[in-house]
Amino acid sequence: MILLRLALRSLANRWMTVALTVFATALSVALFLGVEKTRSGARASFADTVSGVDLIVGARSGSVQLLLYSVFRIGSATNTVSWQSYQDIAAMEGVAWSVPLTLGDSHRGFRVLGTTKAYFDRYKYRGGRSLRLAAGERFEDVFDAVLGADVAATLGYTLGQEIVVAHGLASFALHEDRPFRVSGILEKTGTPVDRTVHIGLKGYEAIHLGWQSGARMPGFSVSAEAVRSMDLTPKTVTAALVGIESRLAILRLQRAINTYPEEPLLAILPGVALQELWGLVGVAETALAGVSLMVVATALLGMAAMIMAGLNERRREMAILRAVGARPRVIIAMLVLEAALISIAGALCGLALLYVGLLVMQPWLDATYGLFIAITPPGPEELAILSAIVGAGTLVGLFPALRAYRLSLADGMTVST
Amino acid sequence: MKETADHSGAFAPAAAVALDGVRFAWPQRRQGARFSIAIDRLVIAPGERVFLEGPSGSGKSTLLSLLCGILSPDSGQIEVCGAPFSALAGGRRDRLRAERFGIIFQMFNLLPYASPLDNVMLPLTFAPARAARVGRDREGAARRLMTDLGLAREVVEAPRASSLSVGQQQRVAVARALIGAPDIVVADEPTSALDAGAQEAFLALLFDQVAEAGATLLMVSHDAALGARFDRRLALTDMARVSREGAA
Repeated sequence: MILLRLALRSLANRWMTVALTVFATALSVALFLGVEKTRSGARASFADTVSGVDLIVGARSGSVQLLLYSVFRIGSATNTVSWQSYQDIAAMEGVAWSVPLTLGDSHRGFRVLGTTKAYFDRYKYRGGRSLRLAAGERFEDVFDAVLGADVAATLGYTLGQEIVVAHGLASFALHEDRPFRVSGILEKTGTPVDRTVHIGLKGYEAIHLGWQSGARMPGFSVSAEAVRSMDLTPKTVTAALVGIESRLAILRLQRAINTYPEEPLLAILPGVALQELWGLVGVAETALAGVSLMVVATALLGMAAMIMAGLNERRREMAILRAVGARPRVIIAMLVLEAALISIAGALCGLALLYVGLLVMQPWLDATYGLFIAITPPGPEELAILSAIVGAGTLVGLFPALRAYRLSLADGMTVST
Repeated sequence: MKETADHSGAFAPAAAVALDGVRFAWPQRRQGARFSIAIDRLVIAPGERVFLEGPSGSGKSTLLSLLCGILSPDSGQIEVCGAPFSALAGGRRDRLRAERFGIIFQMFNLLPYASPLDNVMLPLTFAPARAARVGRDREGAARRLMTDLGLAREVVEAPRASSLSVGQQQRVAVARALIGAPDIVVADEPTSALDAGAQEAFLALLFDQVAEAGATLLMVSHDAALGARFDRRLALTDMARVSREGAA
């Protein structure tokens, strides 16, 4: 007990260098855990975004690309699916439900999604939660729009407000002659839905009447009222979410869609595509984890260097301990104990820094990147990482400890420094 | 103190410290010189007060490290209270040192960040027999000893030894050496930093306490004038030698 007390007092005696070392260790621990937390948060966030959907169908491209643009609103489709093909798929044996998705336009930086009202029933997130309206109602009229929570919050929109959709994702061409009215605002979901403006398929078709190749056709002018009476059946959709009656039929249905004779289509299983995505980003993840691990290693080596640098000043202290009967291994134990105490303090401070960082960054990450990182108590994996860091720090402490041991043997009872 | 047979076969009290044919040389060479110690026979009786004198660099600290078992002789034997000290393995030698020796350093060498109480109790951590002698209440025993040595309560309660005056540090160092009644008290140049008046007071305190504890006192100093107050004085220059590189 007295050795622990002495080790603590010895550390307190050098509080400035010790505090800096603890801070450096804490920063590295927070960085390492932060990277892990972000990685697992990103995976959970992606996995939570798509729930209850058995197949995603789009024009033939890459499965990851289809997943990203249809569900996560990342990137764009290179081709579309004809309305006829979509209807054929919806009518296939074994298909329980389908929801068409049309993407391509935007509103002040937020994507606009054309879909049907079934989307609000069929889209599930975080293990089966349904979308719920915080205010208003789903789109009933052709020019009704339902806003995601972040869209409304960021732009300060309220029910009844008129909004104008822009053609394309970064276009100055506006569908200003056919504005939409905000009919509903969704509750926060922590998914890309929050950053999406939802309109009906008919509305999507309506604003594109008289447009060709991304530009308004000269001389074509139809009022919004007149549009309502026109045939607004879409000609194409970007993708479709599909639910099936029996999971046993999923592979058969996927094969049927992938070999659809009328046009080249691609059906993907969201879980498999996600795995493919993790496989692609795994290298970057590993590199990031490697860098943060190196930062931890650097901090621990810095700690060893700090203890090592102080040894010369502490030779008298070691000589006193040896003279009163401390075995060399007690000297080793004391220095290893110091390293362990610094590592423990660094790990705990790092954990505290992480949570403070999460509290500060969580709303910004969610709003900016749609990355929702849950603030939960440290799990077994994090505790294992912290234990490993403390263990590594203690091991690293052996270097100065062995040096002190050699010095204490060489110095004998007196030190002539 | 146990008794052993001497060469005549009669039983005599075991020497507090006995050196027989001890040879030691530092392995490293410094400026072409190689320092070594050669002692054919040195016996210090229990309760004896011995003064080891020698100028700076004459090997006093080396001899003390040998006597206390921190250094091992290249050849020869060192016995402490009848135990073959130099022949013991490292761990047992450390234990014996903790049990038998109380050491007062030059400049007193307290752990500056530790409290005076912790400094005084420190040797008991490594010496179970000394700890047993003071009983379960180590802190109480340390307080009593410090009070007996004239240390005021606020000094005993001080959080850090570094906050004490030189005089107070002296007394704490003496308390650390005497706690648990070790057989031998070794003092390494304890008066080197003191003026004449303080030297006198310190020696009086040391003699009183060592006599009360019935311990053997072995004090090393370069100040030959102090030797008159001891039972015996030994000149280190007779035992240590500096051999030139390449010389025998």
